[in-house]
Amino acid sequence: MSGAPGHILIAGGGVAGWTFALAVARALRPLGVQISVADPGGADESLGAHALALSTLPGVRDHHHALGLDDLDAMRAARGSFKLGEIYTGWTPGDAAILPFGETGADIGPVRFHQQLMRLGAHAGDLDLAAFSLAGEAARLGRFAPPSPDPASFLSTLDYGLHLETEGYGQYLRTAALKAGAQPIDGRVASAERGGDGRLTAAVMEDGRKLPADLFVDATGERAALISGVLGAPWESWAAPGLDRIAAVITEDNAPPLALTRNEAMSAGWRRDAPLYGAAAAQLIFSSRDMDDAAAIRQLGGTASVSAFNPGRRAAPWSANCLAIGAAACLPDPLSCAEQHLAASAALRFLKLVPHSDGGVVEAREYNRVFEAETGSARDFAALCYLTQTRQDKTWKTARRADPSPELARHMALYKARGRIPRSEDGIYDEAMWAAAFIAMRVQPRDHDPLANGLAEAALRQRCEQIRHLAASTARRLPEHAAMLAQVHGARL
Amino acid sequence: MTPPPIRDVVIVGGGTAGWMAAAALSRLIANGVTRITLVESEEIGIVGVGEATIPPIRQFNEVLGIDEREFLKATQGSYKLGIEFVDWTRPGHRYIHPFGPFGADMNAVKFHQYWLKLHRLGKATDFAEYNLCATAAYQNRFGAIAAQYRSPLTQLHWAYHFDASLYARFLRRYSEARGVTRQEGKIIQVHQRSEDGFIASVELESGQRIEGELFIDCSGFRGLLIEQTLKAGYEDWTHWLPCDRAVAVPCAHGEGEFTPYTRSTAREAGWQWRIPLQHRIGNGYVYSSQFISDDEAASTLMANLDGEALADPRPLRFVTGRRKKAWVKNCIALGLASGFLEPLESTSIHLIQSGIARLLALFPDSGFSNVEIDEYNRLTDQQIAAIRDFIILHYHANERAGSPLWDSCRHMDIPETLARKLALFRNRGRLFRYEDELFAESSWYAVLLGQNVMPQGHDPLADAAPVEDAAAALEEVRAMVRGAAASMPLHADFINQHCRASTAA
Repeated sequence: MSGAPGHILIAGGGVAGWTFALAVARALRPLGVQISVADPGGADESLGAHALALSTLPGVRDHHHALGLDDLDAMRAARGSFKLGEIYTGWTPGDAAILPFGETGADIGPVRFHQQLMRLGAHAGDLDLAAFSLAGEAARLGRFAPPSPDPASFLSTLDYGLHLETEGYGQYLRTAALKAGAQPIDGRVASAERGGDGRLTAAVMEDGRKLPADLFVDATGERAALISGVLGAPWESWAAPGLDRIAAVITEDNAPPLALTRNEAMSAGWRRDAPLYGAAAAQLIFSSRDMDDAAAIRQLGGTASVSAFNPGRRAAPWSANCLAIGAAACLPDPLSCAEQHLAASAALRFLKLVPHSDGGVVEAREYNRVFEAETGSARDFAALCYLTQTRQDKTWKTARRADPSPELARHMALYKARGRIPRSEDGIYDEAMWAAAFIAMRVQPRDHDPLANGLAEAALRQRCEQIRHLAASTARRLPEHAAMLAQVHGARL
Repeated sequence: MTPPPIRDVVIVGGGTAGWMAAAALSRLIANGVTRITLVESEEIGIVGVGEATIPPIRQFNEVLGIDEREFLKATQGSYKLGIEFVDWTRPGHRYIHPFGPFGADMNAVKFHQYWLKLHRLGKATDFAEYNLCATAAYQNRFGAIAAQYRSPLTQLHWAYHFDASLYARFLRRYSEARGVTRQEGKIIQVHQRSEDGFIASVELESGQRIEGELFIDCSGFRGLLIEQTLKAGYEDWTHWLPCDRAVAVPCAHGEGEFTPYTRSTAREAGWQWRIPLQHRIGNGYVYSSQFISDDEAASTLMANLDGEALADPRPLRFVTGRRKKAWVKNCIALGLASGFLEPLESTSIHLIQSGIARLLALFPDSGFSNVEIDEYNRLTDQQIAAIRDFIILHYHANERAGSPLWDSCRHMDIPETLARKLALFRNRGRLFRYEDELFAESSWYAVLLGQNVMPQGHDPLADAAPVEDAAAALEEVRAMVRGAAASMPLHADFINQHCRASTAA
């Protein structure tokens, strides 16, 4: 009986490559597995050229815990700030809506909170869900505190993700992975050699060196040197019609950071701002027909770089003995906040499916199945915004023309009928987050859940008012976000 | 414009399914608009023969605000910690599928992976010894655990055995007290709306018509509304689940212990259940008519009882499978009307319960949008297919060579979803729970390992810990579980003290 693969070679470093290296080094080094990372250095290409900063979901903290990392150390290494949710402006002309993390209000039996509000006559068109959420109110007031571990405390309802600079975060992961026993190799993987059975036998470096291994991990970003370059696994494109370019930049910025990622729709595209500590990361996704690269660079300022925007995913990211991660496997739309999530979940899922040195077929099939469900939810979460925005500019009318995936079509039909959200176990987002996204996009269901009619109206109204009051009054008493960041980073801006 | 809410819900059939639905939906009455009527006839018997359940039943009762001990007193009920499978793997073999987990994951590696590794090295004992419910079950114990053994490793999970007709009666009292109207009468005709075929009313022998907007078909196998009226269609699964008949009989308690678990014993042409209640034991032989005659089946059953038979053996016929659509137009089928998986893993009542929960989550208005109907049917299909796979596993993974029914099950084509699960498990003992799947990973481990589906190897991550450390950790679990089980009272004593039914029913 064979054991784990003797040598795992990770082609490419960056956040995806080093997260993977760290996870496997921690678990497999004690078994004597050799883990090498061929890291060309320079800019992080593993999550795509335009991912200069990461805006994560709250799950990042569980990932850090599972990888033996410390959230605050990561923030210090990556000019990190806290993220309490997302804000969307202009997706409905003239509108702004916050999608808060954590709990919003409270369900009553099977009746979801947004259904309670709609029963009281709330309309998605102007519903301010954030007013019923501690995270939402705190974000609005520029305040922050970590959630309380006591589930009885209202403070436990807050949840947060992180804004992290990709480069610094990659360095932090690299240090941790090296400490866990991963071996760095200088240079860039260009290609690979294949054996008669189709499996890869050795990675070929740009300088001609050959590195044999048992399992090859493709973290070469959009270049996809192995999974596409050698194995030819096809790409499934998700781009919204017309939105074909992306510009990105990080600029120094000493304003106190907002604890939200901002998504602002404009006539020829939309802009995403992820505030960092002492810096600001911005992306502009636009249509080349309605805006040229020079105009995009002028908008973002500084030294913005522009590239083609082609979100999508690989059909079978684990093929033979090659596993693609990061942008080589899936390039999610920034709206889905999924880059970090997918990088970490790929590594953690692989650990549940470490193959024999000579096997991997059944494991790959299971891995790919969950990958499809996860990335499918990321695709749908972003597509929801493109499909339901109501802007009248040409770019946006075009963007609405895409067909939703069958799953998203089902999701939308259920929501539009009665505000219901289907459950999905392998997806990235929970029910509450989907509901908040629909409401942020101002999608009004035809009616609410009839079960909500069984709740006595006066008592329900009072309860909702209490929650709103509790959120506002608790948020006011939290420390300032800027002060909390100064404490983390040891310096006030 | 939103269509108005549903005013009249009519439940057809008053067995376990009908009264569970009535009890759960009775909360709708609070909106001041909805009325609920249940039509049943005393002339039509119900199929309840002594039912075994799984732990989610506790949530159902809890949501209704039912006190556990009152409920057990009213239904001659007992506690259930799992199911023992005798002779399934091969004659002379037995294993238990207990509720709750085996040990606990260590270093992010599943507990059973360490067990697989150490068992091969002769350093681990029987898998059941690492599960509290299994250990307590084999000692016939149930109740509180002594303080020094309480830990995350010793969380007790339980369900019940009870008399289903008494449970229906209990829920009837509950429902009527909350405003549900019971209408006695036999339905002789179903009337449909001419414009769209929706059910408009059911007509009783007396000539009375009960009108409604939403109909819940709990009429049993025949599916009076869903099939006979709306022609939903039935998907036959006999090629996977070959049994098509059962014969049931209650008997007196014999000399044996009052077991806190169900027993299922494999027989030549099927299997026999044994469900201990307070006042008697429910028994039945589920078989394939292709391999044994009705008379032979009945005499096999009668020869294998704990005590004196308390009635004549009662025959039942069924076709395993599912209704192609559980919700058609304004009619939702629950219970046997929606399909039949055999009672091997005690899922019948659970399927009713989850159908009700789905209905509440997707409750329609008088406009009956297809969006909700489609979603209900999609979720129902997904759930029943997952349970079907789990039950097929019991038949398929057998070593009972030379016995025609069992030989054919061992060699049959199994659903692709199950084949994928088995391949992954056979390889390295891995298992992933699919979306919305009822049975937890620990249930699959119990049955897979119980029926001797041994993986070729274990998860390489289990090799990261030194063998001695892993062995010590396993031994710690076993000692904790053994201590906790031994500190519990006997099941019989616990029942006598807390939930003894006052009169023999």
